[in-house]
Amino acid sequence: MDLFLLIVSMAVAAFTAVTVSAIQRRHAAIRDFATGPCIRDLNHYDLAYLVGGPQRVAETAIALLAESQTIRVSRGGRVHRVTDGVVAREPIEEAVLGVVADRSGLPLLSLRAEVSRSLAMSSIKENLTARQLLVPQDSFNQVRTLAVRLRALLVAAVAGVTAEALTILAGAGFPAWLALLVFGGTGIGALVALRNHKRAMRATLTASGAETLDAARQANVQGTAQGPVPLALYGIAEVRDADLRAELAKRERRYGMRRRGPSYAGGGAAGCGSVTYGGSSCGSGSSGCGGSSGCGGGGCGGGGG
Amino acid sequence: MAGLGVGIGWRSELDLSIERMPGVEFLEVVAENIKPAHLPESLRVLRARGLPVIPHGVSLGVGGAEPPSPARLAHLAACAQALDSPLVSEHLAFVRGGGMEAGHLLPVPRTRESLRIVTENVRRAQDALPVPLALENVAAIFGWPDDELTEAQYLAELVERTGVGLLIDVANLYNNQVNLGLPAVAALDELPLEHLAYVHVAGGYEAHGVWHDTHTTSAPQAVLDVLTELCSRTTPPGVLLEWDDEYPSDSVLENELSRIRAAMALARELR
Repeated sequence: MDLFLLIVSMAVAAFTAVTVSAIQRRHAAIRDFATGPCIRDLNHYDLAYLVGGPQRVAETAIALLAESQTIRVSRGGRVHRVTDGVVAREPIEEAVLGVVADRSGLPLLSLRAEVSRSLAMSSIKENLTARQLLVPQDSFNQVRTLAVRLRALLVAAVAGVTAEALTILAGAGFPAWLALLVFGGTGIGALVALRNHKRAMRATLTASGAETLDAARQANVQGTAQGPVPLALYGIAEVRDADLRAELAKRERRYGMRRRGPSYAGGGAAGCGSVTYGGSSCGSGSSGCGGSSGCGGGGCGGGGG
Repeated sequence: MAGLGVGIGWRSELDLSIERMPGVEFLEVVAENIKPAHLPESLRVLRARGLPVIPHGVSLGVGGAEPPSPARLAHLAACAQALDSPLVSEHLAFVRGGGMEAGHLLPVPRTRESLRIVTENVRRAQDALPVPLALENVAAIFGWPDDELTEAQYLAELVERTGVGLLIDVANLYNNQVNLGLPAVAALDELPLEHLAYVHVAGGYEAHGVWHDTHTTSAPQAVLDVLTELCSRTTPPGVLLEWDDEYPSDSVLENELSRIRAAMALARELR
Protein backbone atom coordinates (compact mmCIF):
# COMPACT_ATOMS: atom_id res chain seq x y z
CA MET A 1 0.00 0.00 0.00
CA ASP A 2 2.79 2.40 0.93
CA LEU A 3 4.58 1.68 -2.30
CA PHE A 4 1.39 2.20 -4.28
CA LEU A 5 0.80 5.63 -2.73
CA LEU A 6 4.42 6.55 -3.42
CA ILE A 7 3.93 5.67 -7.10
CA VAL A 8 0.70 7.71 -7.19
CA SER A 9 2.43 10.70 -5.60
CA MET A 10 5.18 10.61 -8.18
CA ALA A 11 2.64 10.36 -11.00
CA VAL A 12 0.72 13.36 -9.65
CA ALA A 13 3.99 15.27 -9.29
CA ALA A 14 5.05 14.48 -12.83
CA PHE A 15 1.68 15.38 -14.30
CA THR A 16 1.72 18.63 -12.30
CA ALA A 17 5.20 19.51 -13.58
CA VAL A 18 4.10 18.91 -17.15
CA THR A 19 0.99 21.07 -16.67
CA VAL A 20 2.91 23.91 -15.02
CA SER A 21 5.44 23.83 -17.78
CA ALA A 22 2.66 23.96 -20.41
CA ILE A 23 1.03 26.93 -18.68
CA GLN A 24 4.34 28.79 -18.54
CA ARG A 25 5.02 28.08 -22.21
CA ARG A 26 1.56 29.25 -23.16
CA HIS A 27 1.90 32.47 -21.18
CA ALA A 28 5.30 33.07 -22.76
CA ALA A 29 3.74 32.57 -26.19
CA ILE A 30 0.96 35.06 -25.33
CA ARG A 31 3.53 37.57 -24.08
CA ASP A 32 5.52 37.21 -27.27
CA PHE A 33 2.40 37.50 -29.38
CA ALA A 34 2.94 40.16 -31.99
CA THR A 35 6.39 41.58 -31.64
CA GLY A 36 5.77 43.61 -34.74
CA PRO A 37 6.33 47.28 -35.27
CA CYS A 38 5.44 49.94 -32.82
CA ILE A 39 2.17 51.52 -33.93
CA ARG A 40 2.21 55.25 -34.35
CA ASP A 41 -1.23 56.33 -35.46
CA LEU A 42 -3.08 55.69 -32.24
CA ASN A 43 -5.34 58.36 -30.87
CA HIS A 44 -5.72 59.16 -27.22
CA TYR A 45 -8.63 56.77 -26.76
CA ASP A 46 -6.58 53.90 -28.18
CA LEU A 47 -3.77 54.76 -25.79
CA ALA A 48 -6.23 55.05 -22.92
CA TYR A 49 -7.43 51.54 -23.68
CA LEU A 50 -3.87 50.21 -23.64
CA VAL A 51 -3.23 51.89 -20.29
CA GLY A 52 -6.38 51.05 -18.43
CA GLY A 53 -8.89 49.34 -20.64
CA PRO A 54 -12.51 50.46 -21.02
CA GLN A 55 -12.58 52.34 -17.73
CA ARG A 56 -9.64 54.57 -18.64
CA VAL A 57 -11.19 55.26 -22.04
CA ALA A 58 -14.50 56.20 -20.44
CA GLU A 59 -12.79 58.42 -17.86
CA THR A 60 -10.76 60.12 -20.57
CA ALA A 61 -13.83 60.80 -22.68
CA ILE A 62 -15.81 62.11 -19.72
CA ALA A 63 -12.96 64.36 -18.60
CA LEU A 64 -12.36 65.75 -22.10
CA LEU A 65 -16.04 66.40 -22.70
CA ALA A 66 -16.37 68.08 -19.31
CA GLU A 67 -13.32 70.24 -19.98
CA SER A 68 -14.80 71.35 -23.29
CA GLN A 69 -18.16 72.12 -21.56
CA THR A 70 -19.90 69.52 -23.67
CA ILE A 71 -21.13 67.85 -20.50
CA ARG A 72 -21.19 69.15 -16.93
CA VAL A 73 -19.97 67.39 -13.80
CA SER A 74 -21.44 68.59 -10.53
CA ARG A 75 -20.48 67.91 -6.96
CA GLY A 76 -21.32 64.39 -5.91
CA GLY A 77 -20.02 63.11 -9.23
CA ARG A 78 -23.15 63.53 -11.30
CA VAL A 79 -22.90 64.16 -15.01
CA HIS A 80 -25.37 66.45 -16.72
CA ARG A 81 -26.34 67.24 -20.26
CA VAL A 82 -25.33 70.61 -21.66
CA THR A 83 -27.86 71.84 -24.16
CA ASP A 84 -25.48 73.76 -26.38
CA GLY A 85 -22.64 71.26 -26.21
CA VAL A 86 -20.56 70.88 -29.34
CA VAL A 87 -20.98 67.81 -31.50
CA ALA A 88 -18.81 64.88 -30.49
CA ARG A 89 -15.97 64.04 -32.82
CA GLU A 90 -15.25 60.50 -31.68
CA PRO A 91 -17.60 57.52 -31.46
CA ILE A 92 -16.73 57.01 -27.80
CA GLU A 93 -17.63 60.65 -27.10
CA GLU A 94 -20.91 60.08 -28.91
CA ALA A 95 -21.50 57.13 -26.62
CA VAL A 96 -20.96 59.32 -23.55
CA LEU A 97 -23.25 62.03 -24.88
CA GLY A 98 -25.88 59.49 -25.82
CA VAL A 99 -26.05 58.11 -22.29
CA VAL A 100 -26.03 61.58 -20.73
CA ALA A 101 -28.74 62.78 -23.11
CA ASP A 102 -30.95 59.90 -22.01
CA ARG A 103 -30.19 60.18 -18.32
CA SER A 104 -28.84 63.55 -17.34
CA GLY A 105 -27.65 63.52 -13.74
CA LEU A 106 -26.32 59.98 -13.89
CA PRO A 107 -23.52 59.25 -11.38
CA LEU A 108 -20.04 59.17 -12.87
CA LEU A 109 -19.57 55.52 -12.00
CA SER A 110 -22.77 54.46 -13.72
CA LEU A 111 -21.90 56.52 -16.77
CA ARG A 112 -18.44 55.00 -16.90
CA ALA A 113 -19.92 51.51 -16.66
CA GLU A 114 -22.45 52.21 -19.43
CA VAL A 115 -19.83 53.65 -21.73
CA SER A 116 -17.51 50.73 -20.99
CA ARG A 117 -20.18 48.43 -22.41
CA SER A 118 -20.82 50.53 -25.53
CA LEU A 119 -20.31 49.47 -29.10
CA ALA A 120 -17.78 52.26 -29.52
CA MET A 121 -15.69 50.69 -26.75
CA SER A 122 -15.91 47.28 -28.39
CA SER A 123 -14.78 48.88 -31.60
CA ILE A 124 -11.68 50.34 -29.94
CA LYS A 125 -10.85 46.94 -28.48
CA GLU A 126 -11.37 45.15 -31.79
CA ASN A 127 -9.19 47.66 -33.59
CA LEU A 128 -6.37 47.31 -31.08
CA THR A 129 -6.66 43.53 -31.17
CA ALA A 130 -6.63 43.50 -34.95
CA ARG A 131 -3.47 45.59 -34.88
CA GLN A 132 -1.91 43.05 -32.51
CA LEU A 133 -1.59 45.47 -29.62
CA LEU A 134 -4.02 43.55 -27.43
CA VAL A 135 -3.94 39.82 -26.88
CA PRO A 136 -7.04 38.24 -28.46
CA GLN A 137 -9.39 36.87 -25.83
CA ASP A 138 -9.39 33.39 -27.36
CA SER A 139 -5.62 33.20 -26.85
CA PHE A 140 -6.32 32.43 -23.22
CA ASN A 141 -8.64 29.49 -23.88
CA GLN A 142 -5.92 26.83 -23.79
CA VAL A 143 -4.19 28.24 -20.75
CA ARG A 144 -7.52 28.43 -18.92
CA THR A 145 -8.04 24.70 -19.62
CA LEU A 146 -4.57 23.94 -18.33
CA ALA A 147 -5.26 25.97 -15.19
CA VAL A 148 -8.38 23.90 -14.53
CA ARG A 149 -6.30 20.75 -14.81
CA LEU A 150 -3.71 22.22 -12.42
CA ARG A 151 -6.39 22.99 -9.85
CA ALA A 152 -7.55 19.35 -10.05
CA LEU A 153 -3.98 18.20 -9.47
CA LEU A 154 -3.72 20.55 -6.48
CA VAL A 155 -6.80 18.90 -5.01
CA ALA A 156 -5.26 15.48 -5.63
CA ALA A 157 -2.04 16.57 -3.91
CA VAL A 158 -3.91 17.85 -0.87
CA ALA A 159 -5.88 14.60 -0.71
CA GLY A 160 -2.59 12.70 -0.97
CA VAL A 161 -1.06 14.66 1.90
CA THR A 162 -4.10 13.89 4.04
CA ALA A 163 -4.02 10.19 3.20
CA GLU A 164 -0.29 9.91 3.86
CA ALA A 165 -0.60 11.72 7.16
CA LEU A 166 -3.22 9.20 8.30
CA THR A 167 -1.07 6.32 7.06
CA ILE A 168 1.95 7.61 9.00
CA LEU A 169 -0.16 7.95 12.14
CA ALA A 170 -1.11 4.30 11.67
CA GLY A 171 2.60 3.38 11.77
CA ALA A 172 3.67 3.34 8.12
CA GLY A 173 7.32 3.43 7.17
CA PHE A 174 9.77 5.31 4.95
CA PRO A 175 7.79 5.10 1.62
CA ALA A 176 4.85 6.88 3.29
CA TRP A 177 7.11 9.70 4.52
CA LEU A 178 8.56 10.06 1.04
CA ALA A 179 5.11 10.11 -0.58
CA LEU A 180 4.02 12.77 1.96
CA LEU A 181 6.96 14.95 0.91
CA VAL A 182 6.22 14.45 -2.79
CA PHE A 183 2.50 15.28 -2.39
CA GLY A 184 3.35 18.31 -0.23
CA GLY A 185 5.92 19.65 -2.67
CA THR A 186 3.54 19.11 -5.58
CA GLY A 187 0.78 21.02 -3.80
CA ILE A 188 3.03 23.97 -2.99
CA GLY A 189 4.36 24.05 -6.54
CA ALA A 190 0.83 24.01 -7.97
CA LEU A 191 -0.25 26.84 -5.68
CA VAL A 192 2.67 29.03 -6.75
CA ALA A 193 2.04 28.29 -10.42
CA LEU A 194 -1.66 29.12 -10.10
CA ARG A 195 -0.84 32.43 -8.43
CA ASN A 196 1.56 33.32 -11.24
CA HIS A 197 -1.04 32.26 -13.79
CA LYS A 198 -3.65 34.52 -12.21
CA ARG A 199 -1.27 37.47 -12.39
CA ALA A 200 -0.34 36.71 -15.99
CA MET A 201 -4.00 36.51 -17.00
CA ARG A 202 -4.43 40.18 -16.08
CA ALA A 203 -1.85 41.31 -18.65
CA THR A 204 -3.64 41.74 -21.92
CA LEU A 205 -1.12 43.81 -23.86
CA THR A 206 1.01 42.16 -26.49
CA ALA A 207 4.71 42.97 -26.67
CA SER A 208 3.94 45.51 -29.39
CA GLY A 209 1.18 47.00 -27.30
CA ALA A 210 3.48 47.39 -24.31
CA GLU A 211 6.21 48.93 -26.44
CA THR A 212 3.81 51.28 -28.20
CA LEU A 213 2.51 52.40 -24.86
CA ASP A 214 6.00 52.85 -23.48
CA ALA A 215 6.92 54.95 -26.48
CA ALA A 216 3.86 57.14 -25.96
CA ARG A 217 4.87 57.67 -22.36
CA GLN A 218 8.37 58.64 -23.36
CA ALA A 219 6.98 61.14 -25.85
CA ASN A 220 4.52 62.57 -23.32
CA VAL A 221 6.34 62.70 -20.02
CA GLN A 222 3.99 63.18 -17.12
CA GLY A 223 3.85 66.77 -15.96
CA THR A 224 5.39 68.23 -19.10
CA ALA A 225 2.98 67.37 -21.91
CA GLN A 226 -0.54 68.74 -22.25
CA GLY A 227 -3.67 67.69 -24.08
CA PRO A 228 -5.72 64.55 -24.39
CA VAL A 229 -2.80 62.13 -24.71
CA PRO A 230 -1.36 62.80 -21.23
CA LEU A 231 -4.91 62.52 -19.87
CA ALA A 232 -5.21 59.13 -21.53
CA LEU A 233 -1.78 58.00 -20.34
CA TYR A 234 -1.76 59.32 -16.80
CA GLY A 235 -5.41 59.62 -15.94
CA ILE A 236 -7.43 62.24 -14.16
CA ALA A 237 -4.41 63.77 -12.44
CA GLU A 238 -3.93 65.52 -15.78
CA VAL A 239 -7.32 67.24 -15.71
CA ARG A 240 -6.64 70.98 -15.67
CA ASP A 241 -9.74 72.13 -13.81
CA ALA A 242 -9.05 71.59 -10.12
CA ASP A 243 -12.70 71.16 -9.11
CA LEU A 244 -13.39 68.69 -11.87
CA ARG A 245 -10.18 66.83 -11.09
CA ALA A 246 -11.13 66.62 -7.43
CA GLU A 247 -14.60 65.31 -8.27
CA LEU A 248 -13.29 62.67 -10.64
CA ALA A 249 -10.53 61.70 -8.23
CA LYS A 250 -13.01 61.39 -5.41
CA ARG A 251 -14.90 58.77 -7.34
CA GLU A 252 -11.66 57.03 -8.20
CA ARG A 253 -10.47 56.93 -4.61
CA ARG A 254 -13.78 55.73 -3.32
CA TYR A 255 -14.23 52.88 -5.74
CA GLY A 256 -11.17 52.52 -7.87
CA MET A 257 -8.93 50.82 -5.35
CA ARG A 258 -11.28 47.90 -4.95
CA ARG A 259 -11.24 47.11 -8.60
CA ARG A 260 -9.26 44.06 -9.65
CA GLY A 261 -9.70 44.13 -13.35
CA PRO A 262 -7.24 43.18 -16.02
CA SER A 263 -3.94 44.99 -16.15
CA TYR A 264 -3.64 46.68 -19.50
CA ALA A 265 -0.44 48.62 -19.12
CA GLY A 266 2.43 46.23 -19.12
CA GLY A 267 5.77 46.90 -17.63
CA GLY A 268 6.78 47.91 -21.04
CA ALA A 269 10.00 47.17 -22.72
CA ALA A 270 11.74 50.31 -23.67
CA GLY A 271 12.26 51.26 -27.09
CA CYS A 272 10.37 52.98 -29.76
CA GLY A 273 12.85 55.76 -29.71
CA SER A 274 11.65 59.30 -29.64
CA VAL A 275 8.01 59.32 -30.51
CA THR A 276 5.47 62.07 -30.53
CA TYR A 277 1.95 60.90 -29.89
CA GLY A 278 -0.34 63.73 -30.55
CA GLY A 279 0.65 65.86 -27.66
CA SER A 280 -1.06 69.13 -27.16
CA SER A 281 -1.68 69.61 -30.83
CA CYS A 282 -4.25 66.87 -30.84
CA GLY A 283 -7.02 68.94 -29.39
CA SER A 284 -9.83 66.96 -28.01
CA GLY A 285 -10.78 65.48 -31.26
CA SER A 286 -9.26 62.63 -33.08
CA SER A 287 -5.63 62.88 -32.45
CA GLY A 288 -3.03 60.45 -33.47
CA CYS A 289 0.63 60.56 -33.78
CA GLY A 290 0.69 63.25 -36.34
CA GLY A 291 2.04 62.65 -39.74
CA SER A 292 5.61 63.66 -39.39
CA SER A 293 6.16 62.60 -35.88
CA GLY A 294 7.27 59.21 -36.26
CA CYS A 295 7.20 56.17 -34.19
CA GLY A 296 10.37 55.22 -35.84
CA GLY A 297 13.74 54.87 -34.39
CA GLY A 298 15.04 51.83 -32.82
CA GLY A 299 13.72 49.17 -30.83
CA CYS A 300 10.32 48.10 -31.94
CA GLY A 301 11.40 46.40 -35.02
CA GLY A 302 9.83 47.19 -38.24
CA GLY A 303 10.45 50.74 -37.55
CA GLY A 304 9.43 53.60 -38.56
CA GLY A 305 7.29 55.93 -39.93
CA MET B 1 -31.46 96.95 1.24
CA ALA B 2 -27.72 96.53 0.88
CA GLY B 3 -26.32 96.10 -2.63
CA LEU B 4 -26.34 92.52 -3.78
CA GLY B 5 -25.00 93.01 -7.31
CA VAL B 6 -25.56 90.57 -10.14
CA GLY B 7 -26.22 86.96 -9.24
CA ILE B 8 -27.53 83.62 -10.41
CA GLY B 9 -29.95 81.07 -9.06
CA TRP B 10 -27.97 78.25 -7.47
CA ARG B 11 -28.95 74.81 -8.72
CA SER B 12 -27.21 71.59 -7.73
CA GLU B 13 -26.56 70.78 -11.38
CA LEU B 14 -24.69 74.04 -11.75
CA ASP B 15 -22.81 74.00 -8.45
CA LEU B 16 -19.25 73.72 -9.76
CA SER B 17 -20.07 75.98 -12.71
CA ILE B 18 -21.29 78.69 -10.38
CA GLU B 19 -18.32 78.27 -8.07
CA ARG B 20 -15.92 79.04 -10.92
CA MET B 21 -18.11 81.63 -12.67
CA PRO B 22 -16.54 85.09 -12.59
CA GLY B 23 -18.51 88.10 -11.43
CA VAL B 24 -21.26 86.32 -9.50
CA GLU B 25 -22.03 88.51 -6.49
CA PHE B 26 -24.98 86.80 -4.87
CA LEU B 27 -27.09 83.67 -5.10
CA GLU B 28 -30.58 82.46 -4.55
CA VAL B 29 -31.48 78.90 -3.65
CA VAL B 30 -34.89 77.26 -3.81
CA ALA B 31 -35.62 76.78 -0.12
CA GLU B 32 -37.60 73.59 -0.65
CA ASN B 33 -34.53 71.98 -2.23
CA ILE B 34 -32.22 72.23 0.76
CA LYS B 35 -32.05 71.05 4.34
CA PRO B 36 -30.77 73.77 6.63
CA ALA B 37 -28.99 71.25 8.84
CA HIS B 38 -27.19 69.73 5.87
CA LEU B 39 -26.42 72.49 3.43
CA PRO B 40 -24.90 71.43 0.11
CA GLU B 41 -21.13 71.65 0.14
CA SER B 42 -21.20 74.12 -2.73
CA LEU B 43 -23.35 76.57 -0.78
CA ARG B 44 -21.00 76.28 2.18
CA VAL B 45 -18.06 77.02 -0.12
CA LEU B 46 -19.80 80.01 -1.66
CA ARG B 47 -20.91 81.35 1.71
CA ALA B 48 -17.33 81.03 2.95
CA ARG B 49 -16.33 83.29 0.07
CA GLY B 50 -18.75 85.87 1.43
CA LEU B 51 -21.47 85.57 -1.23
CA PRO B 52 -24.96 86.29 0.11
CA VAL B 53 -27.44 83.47 -0.46
CA ILE B 54 -31.18 84.18 -0.44
CA PRO B 55 -33.63 81.33 0.28
CA HIS B 56 -36.40 81.53 -2.30
CA GLY B 57 -39.58 79.71 -1.40
CA VAL B 58 -42.00 78.32 -3.93
CA SER B 59 -44.64 76.67 -1.76
CA LEU B 60 -45.64 79.04 1.05
CA GLY B 61 -48.75 80.24 -0.71
CA VAL B 62 -49.33 83.61 0.98
CA GLY B 63 -51.90 84.28 -1.72
CA GLY B 64 -54.21 81.58 -0.41
CA ALA B 65 -57.21 81.89 1.87
CA GLU B 66 -55.50 79.83 4.56
CA PRO B 67 -52.74 81.16 6.80
CA PRO B 68 -49.25 80.10 5.74
CA SER B 69 -48.11 76.82 7.20
CA PRO B 70 -46.03 77.25 10.38
CA ALA B 71 -43.86 74.33 9.24
CA ARG B 72 -43.09 75.98 5.89
CA LEU B 73 -42.35 79.25 7.63
CA ALA B 74 -40.09 77.48 10.11
CA HIS B 75 -38.22 75.91 7.20
CA LEU B 76 -37.74 79.27 5.51
CA ALA B 77 -36.56 80.76 8.79
CA ALA B 78 -34.12 77.88 9.32
CA CYS B 79 -32.77 78.32 5.79
CA ALA B 80 -32.24 82.02 6.39
CA GLN B 81 -30.41 81.32 9.63
CA ALA B 82 -28.29 78.51 8.20
CA LEU B 83 -27.27 80.68 5.26
CA ASP B 84 -27.04 83.89 7.27
CA SER B 85 -29.22 85.40 4.57
CA PRO B 86 -30.06 89.10 4.35
CA LEU B 87 -33.65 88.30 3.36
CA VAL B 88 -36.04 85.56 2.28
CA SER B 89 -38.17 85.71 -0.86
CA GLU B 90 -41.42 84.03 -1.87
CA HIS B 91 -44.15 84.44 -4.44
CA LEU B 92 -47.36 86.37 -4.22
CA ALA B 93 -49.20 83.34 -5.44
CA PHE B 94 -52.06 80.99 -4.78
CA VAL B 95 -50.73 77.43 -4.66
CA ARG B 96 -53.27 75.35 -2.71
CA GLY B 97 -56.75 75.35 -1.31
CA GLY B 98 -58.94 72.88 0.54
CA GLY B 99 -56.09 70.40 0.72
CA MET B 100 -55.50 70.43 -3.04
CA GLU B 101 -52.13 71.48 -4.44
CA ALA B 102 -52.35 73.53 -7.63
CA GLY B 103 -48.86 72.53 -8.73
CA HIS B 104 -48.39 76.04 -10.12
CA LEU B 105 -47.77 79.53 -8.88
CA LEU B 106 -51.22 80.86 -9.72
CA PRO B 107 -52.19 84.54 -9.69
CA VAL B 108 -54.08 85.89 -6.72
CA PRO B 109 -57.59 87.29 -7.27
CA ARG B 110 -56.81 91.00 -7.01
CA THR B 111 -59.79 92.10 -4.97
CA ARG B 112 -60.01 94.20 -1.81
CA GLU B 113 -61.21 91.15 0.07
CA SER B 114 -58.26 89.02 -0.99
CA LEU B 115 -55.90 91.88 -0.20
CA ARG B 116 -57.17 91.87 3.38
CA ILE B 117 -56.47 88.14 3.70
CA VAL B 118 -53.11 88.26 1.96
CA THR B 119 -52.06 91.20 4.15
CA GLU B 120 -52.77 89.07 7.19
CA ASN B 121 -50.84 86.14 5.69
CA VAL B 122 -47.85 88.31 4.91
CA ARG B 123 -47.81 89.73 8.43
CA ARG B 124 -47.85 86.22 9.88
CA ALA B 125 -44.94 85.29 7.63
CA GLN B 126 -43.00 88.39 8.58
CA ASP B 127 -43.52 87.65 12.25
CA ALA B 128 -42.18 84.11 11.81
CA LEU B 129 -39.10 85.03 9.82
CA PRO B 130 -35.87 86.33 11.31
CA VAL B 131 -35.08 88.43 8.22
CA PRO B 132 -37.13 90.66 5.88
CA LEU B 133 -39.47 89.02 3.39
CA ALA B 134 -39.71 89.97 -0.29
CA LEU B 135 -42.57 88.85 -2.53
CA GLU B 136 -42.33 88.17 -6.25
CA ASN B 137 -44.88 88.96 -8.92
CA VAL B 138 -45.83 85.76 -10.74
CA ALA B 139 -46.12 84.84 -14.40
CA ALA B 140 -49.75 84.26 -15.26
CA ILE B 141 -51.44 82.60 -18.16
CA PHE B 142 -54.89 83.76 -17.03
CA GLY B 143 -56.46 86.47 -14.86
CA TRP B 144 -59.37 86.24 -12.49
CA PRO B 145 -62.58 87.79 -13.87
CA ASP B 146 -63.38 90.00 -10.88
CA ASP B 147 -60.01 91.68 -10.38
CA GLU B 148 -60.44 95.12 -8.87
CA LEU B 149 -56.78 96.17 -8.94
CA THR B 150 -53.90 95.85 -11.35
CA GLU B 151 -51.01 93.70 -10.18
CA ALA B 152 -48.91 96.79 -9.54
CA GLN B 153 -51.68 98.47 -7.55
CA TYR B 154 -52.21 95.31 -5.56
CA LEU B 155 -48.50 94.99 -4.77
CA ALA B 156 -48.23 98.69 -3.90
CA GLU B 157 -51.12 98.38 -1.50
CA LEU B 158 -49.66 95.26 0.05
CA VAL B 159 -46.29 96.95 0.49
CA GLU B 160 -47.94 99.95 2.12
CA ARG B 161 -49.84 97.75 4.57
CA THR B 162 -47.04 95.34 5.48
CA GLY B 163 -43.73 96.93 4.47
CA VAL B 164 -42.90 93.70 2.61
CA GLY B 165 -40.07 93.94 0.06
CA LEU B 166 -40.54 93.50 -3.66
CA LEU B 167 -38.87 90.93 -5.82
CA ILE B 168 -39.75 92.10 -9.30
CA ASP B 169 -39.40 89.47 -12.01
CA VAL B 170 -39.12 91.46 -15.23
CA ALA B 171 -39.64 88.28 -17.23
CA ASN B 172 -42.97 87.79 -15.42
CA LEU B 173 -43.96 91.38 -16.22
CA TYR B 174 -43.18 90.65 -19.85
CA ASN B 175 -45.07 87.34 -19.57
CA ASN B 176 -48.16 89.16 -18.32
CA GLN B 177 -47.82 91.73 -21.06
CA VAL B 178 -47.88 88.97 -23.70
CA ASN B 179 -50.49 86.75 -22.08
CA LEU B 180 -52.78 89.25 -20.39
CA GLY B 181 -52.10 92.48 -22.25
CA LEU B 182 -50.79 94.23 -19.13
CA PRO B 183 -48.02 96.63 -20.24
CA ALA B 184 -44.80 95.90 -18.34
CA VAL B 185 -43.51 99.46 -18.40
CA ALA B 186 -46.79 100.79 -17.07
CA ALA B 187 -46.53 98.33 -14.19
CA LEU B 188 -43.08 99.71 -13.37
CA ASP B 189 -44.59 103.18 -13.11
CA GLU B 190 -47.11 101.97 -10.52
CA LEU B 191 -44.87 99.78 -8.39
CA PRO B 192 -43.30 101.19 -5.23
CA LEU B 193 -39.75 100.61 -6.44
CA GLU B 194 -38.28 102.14 -3.29
CA HIS B 195 -39.21 98.81 -1.68
CA LEU B 196 -37.39 96.83 -4.34
CA ALA B 197 -35.30 94.03 -2.81
CA TYR B 198 -33.97 92.54 -6.02
CA VAL B 199 -34.92 91.59 -9.56
CA HIS B 200 -35.31 88.33 -11.45
CA VAL B 201 -34.44 87.87 -15.11
CA ALA B 202 -35.22 84.70 -17.04
CA GLY B 203 -35.99 83.35 -20.46
CA GLY B 204 -38.93 81.51 -21.89
CA TYR B 205 -40.62 80.98 -25.19
CA GLU B 206 -43.79 81.86 -27.00
CA ALA B 207 -46.03 79.19 -28.46
CA HIS B 208 -49.36 79.93 -30.14
CA GLY B 209 -49.40 83.42 -28.72
CA VAL B 210 -48.82 82.31 -25.13
CA TRP B 211 -45.58 83.11 -23.30
CA HIS B 212 -44.19 80.21 -21.28
CA ASP B 213 -41.93 81.29 -18.44
CA THR B 214 -39.72 78.22 -18.54
CA HIS B 215 -36.36 79.58 -17.37
CA THR B 216 -34.74 77.32 -19.96
CA THR B 217 -33.56 79.77 -22.60
CA SER B 218 -31.78 83.07 -22.87
CA ALA B 219 -33.87 86.04 -21.84
CA PRO B 220 -35.32 87.71 -24.93
CA GLN B 221 -34.23 91.27 -25.58
CA ALA B 222 -37.75 92.43 -24.69
CA VAL B 223 -37.23 91.18 -21.12
CA LEU B 224 -33.88 92.91 -20.89
CA ASP B 225 -35.54 96.08 -22.17
CA VAL B 226 -37.95 95.89 -19.23
CA LEU B 227 -34.91 95.52 -16.96
CA THR B 228 -33.39 98.63 -18.53
CA GLU B 229 -36.64 100.47 -17.97
CA LEU B 230 -36.66 99.41 -14.34
CA CYS B 231 -33.03 100.41 -13.88
CA SER B 232 -33.76 103.82 -15.40
CA ARG B 233 -36.25 104.39 -12.57
CA THR B 234 -34.20 103.06 -9.69
CA THR B 235 -30.98 101.24 -8.94
CA PRO B 236 -31.99 97.69 -7.99
CA PRO B 237 -30.04 96.27 -5.05
CA GLY B 238 -29.56 93.07 -7.01
CA VAL B 239 -30.41 91.43 -10.30
CA LEU B 240 -30.47 87.66 -10.53
CA LEU B 241 -30.54 85.29 -13.49
CA GLU B 242 -32.85 82.31 -13.13
CA TRP B 243 -32.17 79.21 -15.23
CA ASP B 244 -33.92 75.93 -14.51
CA ASP B 245 -33.33 72.74 -16.47
CA GLU B 246 -31.99 72.52 -20.04
CA TYR B 247 -28.77 73.99 -18.71
CA PRO B 248 -26.40 75.42 -21.28
CA SER B 249 -22.62 75.64 -21.04
CA ASP B 250 -20.85 77.89 -18.55
CA SER B 251 -20.01 80.32 -21.32
CA VAL B 252 -23.68 80.78 -22.24
CA LEU B 253 -24.59 81.44 -18.62
CA GLU B 254 -21.71 83.89 -18.29
CA ASN B 255 -22.90 85.62 -21.43
CA GLU B 256 -26.38 85.91 -19.95
CA LEU B 257 -24.92 87.66 -16.92
CA SER B 258 -23.03 89.99 -19.26
CA ARG B 259 -26.26 90.80 -21.11
CA ILE B 260 -27.90 91.63 -17.78
CA ARG B 261 -25.02 93.94 -16.84
CA ALA B 262 -25.21 95.59 -20.25
CA ALA B 263 -28.95 96.18 -19.86
CA MET B 264 -28.34 97.76 -16.45
CA ALA B 265 -25.49 99.88 -17.80
CA LEU B 266 -27.68 101.08 -20.66
CA ALA B 267 -30.14 102.50 -18.13
CA ARG B 268 -27.34 104.45 -16.46
CA GLU B 269 -26.42 105.94 -19.83
CA LEU B 270 -30.04 106.86 -20.53
CA ARG B 271 -30.51 108.62 -17.20
